[in-house]
Amino acid sequence: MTNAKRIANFFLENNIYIVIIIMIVICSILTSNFYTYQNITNLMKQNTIIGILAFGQLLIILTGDIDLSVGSICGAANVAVSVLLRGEMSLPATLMIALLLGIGMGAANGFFIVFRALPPFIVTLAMMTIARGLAYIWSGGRPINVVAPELVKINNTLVARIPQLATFLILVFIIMLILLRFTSYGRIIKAIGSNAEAVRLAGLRVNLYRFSVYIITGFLCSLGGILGTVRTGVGSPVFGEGYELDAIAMVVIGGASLSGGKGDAVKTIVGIFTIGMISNIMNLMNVSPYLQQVIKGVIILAAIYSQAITNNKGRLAA
Amino acid sequence: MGTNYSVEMTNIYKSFGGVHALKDVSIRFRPGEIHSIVGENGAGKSTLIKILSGAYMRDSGEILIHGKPVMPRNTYDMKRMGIGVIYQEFSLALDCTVAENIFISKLSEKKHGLINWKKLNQKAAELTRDLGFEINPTEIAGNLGVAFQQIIEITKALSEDIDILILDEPTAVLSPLETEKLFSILDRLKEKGVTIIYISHRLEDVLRLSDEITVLRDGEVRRTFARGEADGDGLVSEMIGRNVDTYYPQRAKTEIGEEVLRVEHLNRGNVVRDVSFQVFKGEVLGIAGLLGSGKTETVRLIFGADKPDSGDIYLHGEKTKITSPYDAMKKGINYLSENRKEEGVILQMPIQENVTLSDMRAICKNAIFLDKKKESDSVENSVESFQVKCDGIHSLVASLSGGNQQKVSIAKSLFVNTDIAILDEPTRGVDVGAKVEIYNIINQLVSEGLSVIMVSSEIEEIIGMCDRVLVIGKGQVVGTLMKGEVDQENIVALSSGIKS
Ligand SMILES: Nc1ncnc2c1ncn2[C@@H]1O[C@H](COP(=O)(O)OP(=O)(O)OP(=O)(O)O)[C@@H](O)[C@H]1O
Ligand SMILES: [Mg+2]
Repeated sequence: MTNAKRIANFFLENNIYIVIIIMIVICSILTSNFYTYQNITNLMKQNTIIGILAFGQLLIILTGDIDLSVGSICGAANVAVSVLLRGEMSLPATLMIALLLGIGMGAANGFFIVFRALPPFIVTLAMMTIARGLAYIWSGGRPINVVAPELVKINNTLVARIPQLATFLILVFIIMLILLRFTSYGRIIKAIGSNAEAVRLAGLRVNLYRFSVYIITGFLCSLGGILGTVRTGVGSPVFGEGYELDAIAMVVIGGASLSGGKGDAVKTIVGIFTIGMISNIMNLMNVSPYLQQVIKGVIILAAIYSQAITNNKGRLAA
Repeated sequence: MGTNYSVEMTNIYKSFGGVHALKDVSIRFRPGEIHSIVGENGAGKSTLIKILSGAYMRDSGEILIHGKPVMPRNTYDMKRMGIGVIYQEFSLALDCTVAENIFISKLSEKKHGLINWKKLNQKAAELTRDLGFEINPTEIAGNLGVAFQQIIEITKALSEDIDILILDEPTAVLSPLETEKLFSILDRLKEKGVTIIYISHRLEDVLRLSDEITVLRDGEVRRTFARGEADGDGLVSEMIGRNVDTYYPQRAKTEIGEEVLRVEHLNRGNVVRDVSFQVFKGEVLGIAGLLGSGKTETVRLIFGADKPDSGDIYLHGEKTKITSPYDAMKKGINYLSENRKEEGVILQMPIQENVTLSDMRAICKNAIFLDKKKESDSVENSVESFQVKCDGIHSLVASLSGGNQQKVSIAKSLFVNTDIAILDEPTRGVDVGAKVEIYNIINQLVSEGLSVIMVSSEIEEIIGMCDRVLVIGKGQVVGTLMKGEVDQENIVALSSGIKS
């Protein structure tokens, strides 16, 4: 009885794994070319940038906040790279400035949210339009070719049969995994999301930790923007539009709680590929883009609803 | 008439996962009587009354109310049957006002969907005044200390027409004066024929108040005493299965050392006014005072949790500014909050991660990576010495009984080594046996040179543990009592302004 219960509980807790297994099975039944090497590497490349943003979002969500500006910051960095290169700036300097741009925007978010106590939703909403606006201004509203062959080349490079682009996601994933499971930093971030006042009274600098999370996320956004130029060969003012919502969906499907304190790197990577696969399979099947949106929305809702049910079951009555 | 019991619970079972919280519990309550339930932390008291109130579903067993079987599915059903509950863990809307909290269940029942705020606030003020408490109805509940929050909970329960009143640890944070007021209210309700179910670890109150006392141990009923059948020692030995000879163990005689902390003319708003005092190495300084006297507000200033308007703090003779809790800890001061749920523990995290939060460096390699082996070893240790009853150190704190959560909270505070420990209501809701263990630990640390500032609403604790007592009234120091002078009368007289 209790053993059966324990097993049932395990599956309820970890139903994201079941979801992705079902998805993989469905995908391989529906299309014959899902399992090709070509498609798998494609899937990895498609989800690298948004996956990196999702890990930034995960940190923010763990502290109990939300960041709507990740897609726009990513876009601003993306444009900045192409504009700076066109202006004959050296590649290392360009990359450095692009990274600092994201970090600066993240810091601005963090400053107003943490040190001025403004609501994250509003502050990052404002940053979302500011960063997007800057991307349009800098680019003049048009995509700009990236004049750095050594950068664009990465898109077709393989490392041990894995696309080099995807190694960035793998690296971010491994760092996040270590950060959240094995370091005091990760634990403190989660504790802040659960009960910030208790953490403050335990003598920890809650504000600094919260601020640092925005810095890290800003950094990851500009990394995403840079990799965007690799993948598309251009810097485009529309790059990253809508990524913030996908990133949030990926994190939440990965079992994180929007009220903070709960979330995990492994489940997030599964969440990233769950959503990524939904788009991938529908593309392979030539589903119309409009219908794709509807189906994706329904699947996200279903996945999160099933989690809410299990969370409620597991939740301790007051 | 039929039966003369208002509530009959028979053969109740309840388990959480592998933990059997209640095993075959049968208990009956009569109208017009106060029936107390006592037992160690984790004995199943709160679980039992939550089953009666509909907050938990029983696994099996039967409940009769006025002879009729009921199957409580939620608290709303039971409320409509006239059951009022004051839970051990508060259930207040912390962003709402006192008045909104008191009338929270009636807010939705307004005609036309409109609320007359002025009238609501007036009624709340009247209600609290009738009960003998002073509280501003427009104050935000979350800004009030736990004692005031307790008063809101009491008023909220009493604002309904109740036939059965359940009180789970209502006096754990109340000072003697408010406790007396509550007891006279209970006496009045008793006259009216209300059934009162009372849970408390303050056994003297229980003995004085109760018509019947039932002892629970490990989820089973040990014995029910009628009035006069039990005395304190008898209850304790039924509760914990052994005798306790000293409730306040003697501290190894140590010389009180040099001054470690001096506070001069500390002010904050009108809650802390011109407070000055000293703390010496190796002493326990008690802080006593009534509801709203500013005890907690004062110590929070020393810890940097709030900012003083003016005043100076000297550490080891040197003037310092304490800007934040982080700063305070760095300077060797640490603080246990009176409010474990909001400020003490993190309910949704395991015991292990809670205990070590106050000193993560002690369990880290290279200051970054957690050494989980080292961590679990030291947490196993403190769980044992603080007698936390749990299903392993990886259980969530939320799954613990109230008193056991408190033990985790104090274990967390004392996990870090500091020169000064500020302990605000350290034994709130802790059973007598475990209290002695906590006092032993405090005594041990004090004899090693720790200075303790102990804020407590429980006078016996202040008397039993403190070398000196600062009595605070309306935000001011109204007197300092030395060890020999500390007794119930002196403290009450000073704090209520009868004597000066
Ligand atoms: N929601 C829950 N989930 C898991 N276990 C629980 C839960 N609530 C209570 N328990 C367990 O049931 C047992 C009885 O707990 P209960 O809260 O009834 O104790 P109590 O007698 O009220 O103790 P205290 O004096 O500390 O308030 C404990 O072992 C506790 O850990
Ligand atoms: Mg209890």
